[in-house]
Amino acid sequence: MGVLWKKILRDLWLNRLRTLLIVVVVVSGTAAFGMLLASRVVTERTEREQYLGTSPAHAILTIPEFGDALIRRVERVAGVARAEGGRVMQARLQTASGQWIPLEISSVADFEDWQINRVYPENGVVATPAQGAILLERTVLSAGPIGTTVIVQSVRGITESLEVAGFVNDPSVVQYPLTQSAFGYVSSGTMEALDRSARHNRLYVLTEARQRDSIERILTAVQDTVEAEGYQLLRAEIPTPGRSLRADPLSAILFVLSQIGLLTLCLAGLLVGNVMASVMGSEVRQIGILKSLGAGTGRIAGLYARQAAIYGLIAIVVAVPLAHFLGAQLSGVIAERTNFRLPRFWLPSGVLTLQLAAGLGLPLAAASLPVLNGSRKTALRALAEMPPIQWKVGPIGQALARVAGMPGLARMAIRNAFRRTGRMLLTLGMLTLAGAMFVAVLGARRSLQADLAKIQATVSYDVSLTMVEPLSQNTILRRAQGIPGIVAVEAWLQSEARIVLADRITGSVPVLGVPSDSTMTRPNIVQGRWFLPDDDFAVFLSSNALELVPGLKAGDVIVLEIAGDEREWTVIGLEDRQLRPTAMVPLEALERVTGLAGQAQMVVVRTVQSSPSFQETIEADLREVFRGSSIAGTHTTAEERQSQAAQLDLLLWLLMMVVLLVLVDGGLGLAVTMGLNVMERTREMGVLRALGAQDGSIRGLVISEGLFIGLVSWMLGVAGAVPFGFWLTGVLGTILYGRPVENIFSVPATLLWLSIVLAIVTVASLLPAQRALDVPVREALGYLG
Amino acid sequence: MRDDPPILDLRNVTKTYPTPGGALVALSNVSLQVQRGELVVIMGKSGSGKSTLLNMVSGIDRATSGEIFVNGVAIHALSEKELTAWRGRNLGIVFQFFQLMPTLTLVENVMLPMELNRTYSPIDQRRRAVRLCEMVEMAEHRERFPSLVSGGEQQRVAIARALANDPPLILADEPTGNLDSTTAATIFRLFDELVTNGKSLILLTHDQNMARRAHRALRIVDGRIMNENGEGRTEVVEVS
Repeated sequence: MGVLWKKILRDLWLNRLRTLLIVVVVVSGTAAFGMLLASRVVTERTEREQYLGTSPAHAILTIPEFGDALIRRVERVAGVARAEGGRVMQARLQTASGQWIPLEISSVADFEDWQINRVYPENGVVATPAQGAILLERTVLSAGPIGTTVIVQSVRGITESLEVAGFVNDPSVVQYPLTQSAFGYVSSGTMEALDRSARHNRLYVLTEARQRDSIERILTAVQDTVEAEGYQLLRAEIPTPGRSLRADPLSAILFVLSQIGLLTLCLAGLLVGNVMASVMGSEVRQIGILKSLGAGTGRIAGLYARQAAIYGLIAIVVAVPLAHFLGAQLSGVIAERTNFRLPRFWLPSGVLTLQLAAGLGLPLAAASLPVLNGSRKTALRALAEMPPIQWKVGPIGQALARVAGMPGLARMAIRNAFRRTGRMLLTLGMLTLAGAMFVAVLGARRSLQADLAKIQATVSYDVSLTMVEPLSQNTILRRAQGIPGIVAVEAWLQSEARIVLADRITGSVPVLGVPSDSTMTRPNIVQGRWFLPDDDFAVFLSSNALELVPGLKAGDVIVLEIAGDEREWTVIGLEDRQLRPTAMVPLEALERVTGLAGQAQMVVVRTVQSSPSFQETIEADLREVFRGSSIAGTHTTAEERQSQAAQLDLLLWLLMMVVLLVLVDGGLGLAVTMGLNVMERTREMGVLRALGAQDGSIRGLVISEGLFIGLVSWMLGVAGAVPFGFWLTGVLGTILYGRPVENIFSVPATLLWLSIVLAIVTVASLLPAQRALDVPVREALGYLG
Repeated sequence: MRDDPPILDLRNVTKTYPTPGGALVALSNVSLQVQRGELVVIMGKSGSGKSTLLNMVSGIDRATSGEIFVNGVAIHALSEKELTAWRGRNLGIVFQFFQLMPTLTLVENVMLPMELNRTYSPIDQRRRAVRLCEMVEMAEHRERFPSLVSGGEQQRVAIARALANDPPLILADEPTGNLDSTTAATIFRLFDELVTNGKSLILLTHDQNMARRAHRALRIVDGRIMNENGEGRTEVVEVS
């Protein structure tokens, strides 16, 4: 081995603390980058594969009481690949702890030949549940283990004891409790016992097309066939082809995480550049010697480039398996929280290549400028016996230090911070970036929560109860008003509406018939107006409708099909995009088209207080007074808010985890800077102590310098959080809610960041300060640097 | 010796440095010749220009004007890259503070110039380095790091390093400045041997004893030369 290689390797070993620091930084940046990018690729790919593996239906048609003959007829429609029938009913399940959970039960005609909207077994295969048994979607583990007997009560009031036969994973559903219903699967026989009917009420259709337009055209033919056979199409659910319900929010989370992973890599690069600049600074005299011995600039640059490459190689050995491990953990958590299976985690070859390139490239790139600058020094400059660089304090440092009334040591601290301007700017950059991200993420959280609250505020009732069969509105009002604690009651009619377009079928949206003077809803009107007493066939839509009919605006006339009635309705207003598409019409109008004059299926109540426990009490009371009517379900707004908040919190939890990574890098950066600054001023500290400076003064000097850098970074970080927050909130809002969300700047976050920065500064400065004090004065004065 | 061309030939060399207060003339129109096998001592206080003179000769610094020939090569005409390569093969430099590489052993320090300039094969590098360590009586400690030996021992190794590529001219900048008198005498004895063996040597020193043992001594004092040499010709080198 050549002498130069020996120098490289021994330098690495003899300065192992520095080597370790650089390697740790490169590892943290590369591993975070690899972990987040790999998680994104693997999670998105696996989620899609899992979803597509269930052979998701292109349409789920709600058709009351049909048999296999209709299925066979629909399968003969051109473009239909397959059709299956099933029955879905609403019920509730009592868990082992006695809690009632809303439950949607689906029957499967033939578990052995189940082809559409399949589920995955948690263990083994999806076995046909016996009569009186139920398979539960896995997120209802609170029901109890396999073999447990659970009580299931249908909306008709029929109660059955069912044995838990197994757990399955249904990637097409959002899991309980993020959604307000759990899911179960039973045989046709069990369904007949629960719902008193063996007939189907759901038609699952798989077409040969892949694009939505083509699918909708085929489904139009299916609709025609269904109606020609004498059946009524109540509802058509047409999912986005190839994309599950969770795909968009998941993509949002993963996109943001991968961008932050890239930022983390950049931070690590800044930090390594900082350290390498110092390494080159400390090697100046040796560079001079090498030049005097005949080594050219290229040779010297190659020497230190090899050193940087070795840092990268060591880091890669750790970073790649670390990224794999952490990526597997992160992906596992995401999969578990968003309810799909992750059979295996792997490091995609593209990500591995990028990670290797980053791990090797980062130290090389970060070191390139310092190495080039250092190796280009002339032998003369490098060999000067005095410190090679005459440290100058630039104009900013001088101006800041001239602030009146500032103590001498404070002046010195500020000037010291500016003596290595390049290094200080690098450190400032890192801390500023960390601060901007921290404040922006907390601001995004606040913004998204505020937007969610705005959406939730459009609902001004506390509890709702929905029945399968309509009741007289007067009966509903009378029964509900008799419950203590209820201050307002309204009876609403509900149905399903489809926007009829000339050439294709569209998905159904729930339509609510509400009194035009309703006080239970306060929509955030973005176009048009709310109902007036004279309005007849007027419809008020959520902006989600624009997905079905782009360009739709207030004043337009659309054709709606409701309960078989097809006519023109005037769009009188649009509200802000809701979590799901909604349509509202005047109660009287809906009564007329459904033929349910004076009737309603839904009662909404406002209570005297809105605490979750009070709402639960009223919910129970409502169930009691409407016992005997077929209750489809009850909801409290507290429960709904909780499940919506849970979805948001997952996203924000992931973001904060990454911000933590960035924080660690920023803290490391400051520690490195303070350590290097102090080390380079060892002789100067010796002089101060020789002149009588006490330990406290030296510590104060070092900590003040760190504090100055920390405070400046805090101010810049807070300023940077403004544009970053706008970007982050905009991206997340668009993908989560389909529209930009108003950005709220979080002042508490800035104060929290300030305290974190001060803590980091103190810790990062104390150790170098103490190290400076540990060097005896005599030794410090003789230090040649 | 005197019939061969001089190992060093400075012709009207001037060096000025720009300063905020105006141009500082460190060397003014200096002409100097050093013959092969000569030991020339240059003396002077700090700031007198002696280090600048040495830097001119070694190519570490460039003259503002004038010509410098070392072993027949016009080094004033070489590019920076050419100068570095030339210096590695044709000059040996001994520094006041030894300037050994701290993370290389003593013998590896001696091998370094050979590896940098690719003058010997790796096997010969080691062999030659060991011989040079023996020559300076440091063979026993050759596998130690510089921090584990005394200043005098480090300086001996630095001399061995300066000889690594067998250069015709050795430059030594205050080689005994940080050594006690006994050790300094040892170092100078080594220099004597080098000169006896045909090397040319230019020394910067404050040491009067060393000056008396040189072929010629030149003193630079506030721009004027005082002749201290008891032998040979009087040489005056004028500086401003």
